[in-house]
Amino acid sequence: MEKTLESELVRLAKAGNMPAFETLYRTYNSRVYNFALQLVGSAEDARDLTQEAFIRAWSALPTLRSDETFGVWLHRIVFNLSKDLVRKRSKQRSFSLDGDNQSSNGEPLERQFQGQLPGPEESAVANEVEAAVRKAVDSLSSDHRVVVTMHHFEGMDVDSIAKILRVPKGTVMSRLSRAREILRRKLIPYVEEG
Amino acid sequence: MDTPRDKQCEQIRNSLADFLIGHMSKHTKSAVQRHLDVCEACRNELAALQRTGELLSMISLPEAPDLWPAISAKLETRVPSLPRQLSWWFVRHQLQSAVAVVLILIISTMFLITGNQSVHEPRPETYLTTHASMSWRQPFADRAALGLATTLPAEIDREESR
Repeated sequence: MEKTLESELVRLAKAGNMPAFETLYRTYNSRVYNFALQLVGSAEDARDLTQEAFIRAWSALPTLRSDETFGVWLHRIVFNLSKDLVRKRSKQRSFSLDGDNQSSNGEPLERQFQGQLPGPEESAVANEVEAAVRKAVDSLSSDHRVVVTMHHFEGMDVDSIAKILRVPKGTVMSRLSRAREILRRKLIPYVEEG
Repeated sequence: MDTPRDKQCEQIRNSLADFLIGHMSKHTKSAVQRHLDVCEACRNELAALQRTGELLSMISLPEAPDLWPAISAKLETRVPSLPRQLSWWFVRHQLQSAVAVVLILIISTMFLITGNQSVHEPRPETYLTTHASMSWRQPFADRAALGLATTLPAEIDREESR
């Protein structure tokens, strides 16, 4: 969304204009949901997280500084909420995100993308490649998966990612590099010539 | 057995992902580039990493469920206690709010103190009467007494006449 249009929508939403806030929701829903999905792994939890994030955003809009972009601020709300949720879930059962392929509800992460892959009308080759890439990304650790989603799937720049995750820019770049190395080894048939 | 060239290639390949993303110093980047100029194997590895990034960029985000009906329903049931912007102004400007409260308290306290003092100050007529009584023997030594020569109360006259 163009920056000036978004600024105007944010200004209206801050003043209590619900239709403006709905437009912001429609712009960011997909990104926020998928970001949440990568953080918590479960579609059900991602849905709850997304809903809570937008509700919190509506209440906290007056605190959004003019030098902050709405998208980065919203992602930070999601990230903070996800930490609370993961903490809550880990108290309910023994659970670890890093280096683990399980979601917050205990199901293997690979299952999360079932039903969301391209339909039969897409070419078979494209389907196969996309499925392989998604499977490879799902197998990454949480830290790597999150930065790959934000940078490659959502198109966020390294600075914004660093602000959202509250880590140094160098850390984001390292994670992206390491993730790419891992994915390159997992996707040999698709990235090597001959 | 690994030759020095093999070891150098291994080192370079381990840094290619950083090279692609720009996460290295200018000096190191130049060294890597010089190696790539002469090593086809490492150039192939770089190409593979580049294609990995391209594959990732091809992935479209899965469709998200439409949560707006649930979100708007929850927002509509909320009852605001204060106008949004006003309540958040106080939250956001905590320092200014605290200073304002302290200033109000100081001004109120000063007002109360000065108000009490005026209650205890003697009324002008009482002050003048007392002053005149103390200075009547030397009326010309005291300007206040001079001013009061015609305004002595009846009680002082009766006292003198005894």
